[in-house]
Amino acid sequence: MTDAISIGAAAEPTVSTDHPPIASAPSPDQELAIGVRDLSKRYRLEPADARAPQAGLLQPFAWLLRRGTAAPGKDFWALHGVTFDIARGERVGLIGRNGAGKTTLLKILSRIVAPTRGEARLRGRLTSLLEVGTGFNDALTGRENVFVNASMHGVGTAETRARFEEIVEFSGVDRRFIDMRVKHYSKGMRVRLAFSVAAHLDADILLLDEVFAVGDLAFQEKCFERVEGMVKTKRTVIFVSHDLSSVTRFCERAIWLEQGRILLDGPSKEVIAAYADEVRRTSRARRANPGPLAASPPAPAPGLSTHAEAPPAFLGAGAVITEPPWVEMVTAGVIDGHGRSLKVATVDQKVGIEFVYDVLRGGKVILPGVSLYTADDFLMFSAVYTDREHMRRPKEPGRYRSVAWIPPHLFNVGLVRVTVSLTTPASGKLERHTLIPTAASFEVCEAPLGVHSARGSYREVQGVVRPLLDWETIRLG
Amino acid sequence: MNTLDVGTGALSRSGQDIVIRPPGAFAHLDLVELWRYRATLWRKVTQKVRIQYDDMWLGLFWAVARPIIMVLVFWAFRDLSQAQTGVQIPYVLYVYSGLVAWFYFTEVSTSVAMSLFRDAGLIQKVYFPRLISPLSHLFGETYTLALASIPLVVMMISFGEYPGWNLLLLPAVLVQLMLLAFGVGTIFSSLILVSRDWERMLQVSLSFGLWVSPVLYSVAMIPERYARLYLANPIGGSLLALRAALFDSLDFPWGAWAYASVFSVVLAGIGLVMFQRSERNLADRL
Repeated sequence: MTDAISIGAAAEPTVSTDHPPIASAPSPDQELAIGVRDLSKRYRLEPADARAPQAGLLQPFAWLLRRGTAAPGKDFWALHGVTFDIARGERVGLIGRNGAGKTTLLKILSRIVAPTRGEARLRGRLTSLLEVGTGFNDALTGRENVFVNASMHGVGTAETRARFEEIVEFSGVDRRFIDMRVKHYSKGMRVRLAFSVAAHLDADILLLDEVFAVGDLAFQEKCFERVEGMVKTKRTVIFVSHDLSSVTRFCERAIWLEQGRILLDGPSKEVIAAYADEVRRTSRARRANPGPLAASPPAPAPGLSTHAEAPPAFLGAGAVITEPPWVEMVTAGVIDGHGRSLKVATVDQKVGIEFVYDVLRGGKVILPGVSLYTADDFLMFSAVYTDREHMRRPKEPGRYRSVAWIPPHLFNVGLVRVTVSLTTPASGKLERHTLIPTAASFEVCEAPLGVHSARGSYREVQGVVRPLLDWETIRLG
Repeated sequence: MNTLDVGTGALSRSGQDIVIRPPGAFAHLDLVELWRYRATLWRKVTQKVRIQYDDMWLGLFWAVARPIIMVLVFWAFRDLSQAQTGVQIPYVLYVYSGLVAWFYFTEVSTSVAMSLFRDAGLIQKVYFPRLISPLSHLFGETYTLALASIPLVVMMISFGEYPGWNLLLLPAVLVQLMLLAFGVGTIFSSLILVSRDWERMLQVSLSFGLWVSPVLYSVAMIPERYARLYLANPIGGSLLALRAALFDSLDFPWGAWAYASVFSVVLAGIGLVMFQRSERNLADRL
C-alpha cells in the first residue's frame, strides 16, 4: 500500500504540488469504514436551449428529435478519480474551495447522487447531519415525524421507540406539544426536534457540515456537546468546513479537494497549513494582478503603508537602522516546544519565536524583539527582551540564538505574521540594527477535541487574542 | 473477518457493506434493501392515510361517498331512461364494484405519477430506496379501496349475489390492477418531471378512460366487431376479471385477463426503468 503522499498527480497547473510527502492512508490492519476507488462524477451542462418551454408535451422526447443536430452539452467533472480509505473511528476533515467537489463527494457517499465512475464502499450505518429536518411533514404530529424521520435513516420502529424519550428530552420540545401537529410548532421547535432525531441515530459513519448547530445559543451549545460526544465514541466522521480551525478541532486527518481531485491527504495540521498557504498565495496573486473586471486597487492612503512596501513601525518611530551593519540576522522562525519548526499551532500550544543572529562588532547591547500581526495587519503586540541582566551587558561578537516563548492560550485562531528585529536601547531613541517584516508566519487553529480552551462551547470568539482566563464567581447576596 | 482489502485497489465483498456504483442502464430492483426499509415504507403509507383522513369515520365516508353518489346517479339515469346496459347482475352491484376499482386505478396512477414531483425536495436531500415513494402511494390508496369495499360486501349480502370459487383469483386480479396502475403512474411520473403538461394529459386520459371501460355498462353493449379493439384497453380485462371473481354468475374472462396481465407486467417494467432514470436526473440537478 502507499503509505505516503496522495498529492494529486494530475493537479492543475495553478496548484502547487511541492508539498512535502505526508503519510495518509490508514495502516492495513485497521478495519475500514469507507473505501473509495476512482470515484468520479460528471455533470452535463445542458446547452441553454435544451429547457426551452415551447416543447411542452413533446419535451420528454426532445432528445429523439434533437439527436445529432444540437450541440452536445458541456461536461463538467465535479469529482475526478478520487481514491481514499478511511479507517473505522477516523475523523476526517474535507477542505477545499467552493466548487472543489466536497458537496458532490458527500452527496455520493450519502447516496443522494450516483457516481459516473468508480466505487465507494461503506461499512455500517451512515447518517448525515447535512440536511437536518428535511422530510418533516406539517400534517403529522411531532411524535409521528420523529418516527418517519428515523425510519428514513433506516432506524426501525422498535429502536426509535426505545430512544423516543431521549430524543424529546434533548430537543427541549414541551411534552404537551409532542402529539400536536408540527404545523403548529415554532420554527425553533421544529429544527430542534429534527436535529435531535438526527443526533440520536446510532450511526457508524457521520457526515457533518459546518453548520450543524441550530437553534438558539443554549441549544447550539448542546448540539456541540452532542456532536463532540458522538465524535469521541469511535465513530467515523467526515466533516466539511470552510473554517479551518474547526477542522483541526474535530479531525486528525484532512483531505484537500481541488477541482474534483484530491490534492493533499494527511494529518490535518499539515494539510491545513498547505491549504492556508495556497489560499494566501492565490489571494495575494489576485490582489497583485487583478483581472480585467476588477477595479484598480485603491491607492494607499498617505502615511499608511502595507508591509509589502515598507516595514511597519516597530517600537515607535524614530528608530534608525545602523550603517554599517552591527549585527546580521541568520534565521528567524517559529518553533514548537520541542524545537521543531512550526507552521500550524493549536491554541493550547506553546509557540517559540526563534532568532539566530551574528553580532559582528562588540560593545553594544543587542535586544531581540518581536511584533505579531494578524492576517489583516493589525498589531497584536510587540515584545522585547526585558531581562535586566541581558539589557545591561553588551554582546561580544559571535553567533547567538534567542527564543521568545509565547504561552499557550494567548492567540485567537487565524494567521499570525511575525516581525523580528534587533535593536539597541540608546538614550532617547532606539537604535535598530535589523528588522525583518515577515520573518515567519503561522496558523493558529482550534485545540483538538477534549482540550479546554477559551472558546468554551461557542463556535468562535471575536478578538485579536483569546486568552484563557481564570474566572471566579461568588454569590454576594 | 471481513476487512476491506486496502492497497490492491479492490474491496472485499461483504453482505453488510453498502456499495455505491454507477447505475446500470436498466432498472435495478433491490428487494433486499426494500425489505430493510420496510419501516420507512410502512411509515410513509400510514402518513399518507393519516394525512388523507383526519378522522377515521369521516374517512370511511369520503372513501365511500364518491362511488355511492355516482351509483345513485347512474341508477336513477338507467331507470328513468330505460337505457340498456347489458348487465346480468343487479346494476347497483355492477356499477359500484366497477367504480370502486376504477377510482382505485385512477387514484393510484395519479398519485404515483405525482410522487417524484412531490418528493423531489426529499430525493435531493435524503437517501431512501426511491421506490418507497410510489409504493407508499400504491399501498396508501389500497386502504381507501378496502374502506370502499365494505358497502360492497353489505350490498352483495343484501342482493344475494355471492362469489364462487373464482374468488380465489381475486388477489391475483388485484395485484394485476396494482401493477397496471403502478406502470401508468411511474411512466407519467417521469414525463411530468420534464413537463407538467403530462399531468393534464393523464387527467384527461383518465376521465376519458371511464367511458371506454366497462365500468358503467357491460361489454355486451359493444358490437361484436369492435369487441377486440375495446378490450385492447387492459382495464377492460381487469374489470371483467374482478367482477367474475366477485360474482359467481359471471364467467371468468381468461383471454382478456391474460392479455391485461401481460400488458401490466410490461408496463410496470417500463415504468420502473423510466422512474429510476428520472429519479437519478432529479438528484443530479444542480
